[in-house]
Amino acid sequence: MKLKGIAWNIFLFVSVIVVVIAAIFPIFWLFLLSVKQGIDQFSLPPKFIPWLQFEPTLDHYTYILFKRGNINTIFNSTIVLLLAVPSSTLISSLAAYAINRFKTGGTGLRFGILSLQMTPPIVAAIPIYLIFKFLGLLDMQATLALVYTTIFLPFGIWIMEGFFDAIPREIDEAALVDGCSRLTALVRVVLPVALPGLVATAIFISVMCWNEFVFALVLTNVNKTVPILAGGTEGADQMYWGEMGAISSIIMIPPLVFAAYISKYLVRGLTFGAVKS
Amino acid sequence: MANVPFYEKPWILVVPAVVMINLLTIIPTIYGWYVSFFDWSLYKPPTFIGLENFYSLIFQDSRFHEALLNTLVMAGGALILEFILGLSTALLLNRDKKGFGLVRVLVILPLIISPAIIGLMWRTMTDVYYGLFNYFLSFIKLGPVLWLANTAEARTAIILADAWQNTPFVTIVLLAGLRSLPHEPFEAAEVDGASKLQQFKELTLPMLKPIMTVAVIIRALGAIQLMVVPFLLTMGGPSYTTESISQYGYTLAFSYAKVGAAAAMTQLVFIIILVGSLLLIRASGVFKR
Repeated sequence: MKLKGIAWNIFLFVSVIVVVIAAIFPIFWLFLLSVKQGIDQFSLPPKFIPWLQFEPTLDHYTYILFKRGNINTIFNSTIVLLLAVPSSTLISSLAAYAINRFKTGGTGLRFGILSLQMTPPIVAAIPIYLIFKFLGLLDMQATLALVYTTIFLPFGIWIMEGFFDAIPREIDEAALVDGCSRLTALVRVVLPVALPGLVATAIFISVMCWNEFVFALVLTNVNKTVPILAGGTEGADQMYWGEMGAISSIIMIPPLVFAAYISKYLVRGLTFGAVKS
Repeated sequence: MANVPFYEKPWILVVPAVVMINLLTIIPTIYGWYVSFFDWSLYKPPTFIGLENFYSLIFQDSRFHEALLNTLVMAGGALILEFILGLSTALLLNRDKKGFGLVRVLVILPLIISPAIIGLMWRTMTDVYYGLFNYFLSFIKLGPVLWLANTAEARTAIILADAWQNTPFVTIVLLAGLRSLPHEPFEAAEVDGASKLQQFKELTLPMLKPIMTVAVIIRALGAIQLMVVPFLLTMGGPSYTTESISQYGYTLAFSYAKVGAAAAMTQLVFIIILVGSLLLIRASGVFKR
């Protein structure tokens, strides 16, 4: 009997390890690639331990960062993010509050927001491209920020609705009783309570802005954002794995920094409305 | 709310969101419809051709048919894989053991990474001579696989890549679902002598159905939009067999500059998705709040 229990526990333990390794290994591998040089990149069996199995180098990073304007690209991504994230968070929070507290817009609005989420980016990207081309506003951070603000609104509303749902209406009522107008009640009383939700939404939207590819591809050329760099490493004959690793690491690190924070709120955000808990 | 000034009324809060959504999604979509009735190239003035774009797409464009097939195959395969793996992992992690918090954080990482990176990642790992996949396969004596050169293998690679990125989503959602299940039915079943397997079949699965349905719908919608990974991994190759519909739309518009046809195609696809998902939602009987 006891043996069966132990065997089962070992099996569980091993399975969990396998799962974790499967999840992390490719990421880890890219980091490794970014510091390997020359033949080490391609050698099999693969070398894992720096300094013991191979000489690590930062050459790929310096090459990537100082190569024709990649710093500008990182700068562009940051600007777009700084413009889009506060706007999107704010606008979606206001809307979420109204929808949650007053059922504004009813099913029609909900449906509109839902169908927005169902749109493949490319469907809207083509007309948007034409419109902005006509307006002469292509290839600008502000344009991309405007688009990003809009496309992440449904997501922001979804998440913030969950958070507002968890805030008892008594708080609103109490503020009103104390003489606040509805607007003051929202701004001075409810929003501070919802602050964790606001931060979570902002971080989620930031990560999505940073990672977004399709609209960036369509709407920018010279002033591109970071994920587009990933497409620039195609060597016809040579495999620039070190550089691919370095670019990937640069693109991966900001979101990964927030991973712990994200995981905490991801479950809440994803399952609000799906699970009656 | 009779005597409340208009700027105090609730709908004012929704206005910015609605305005932006209208400006940057609804209006472009309507414009897209308009464009799709033209032979619109970026280099010459557009000519009105009515439904000809749609006609040639549906009946003559084999590359479009191929793209449809590809998308279905790759999205479908990825979905199946994601749910099998996701459910298994969720069951695995549905325990209160120490350190599982950390495990959950680690397992989420693939979700946070840009799909563009996944394309690169997979490109290094699927290399025929130096890639890790073939290296590991050689341990179980399976010959080197020409990952990106053959249709089936290339599609598999993309399915694997998509599954790698999105299984964590399914895992997290199903895990939350599992954790929210009430204990009483299981305890009662245990008392009645039901085996773990029976409990799973008769209790867990049915109770999970609503949340699984939601997860399927969300993932299906996401999978159909598949573009970034194939774009960066296979460029739609070999010979267009991994080209997704989104990718074909992009190529039509920006490589072939046939914006009219591209608009027609994307609008068509959008309608299909919209109708399909509405039917799905209706049929599953799950209402989103």
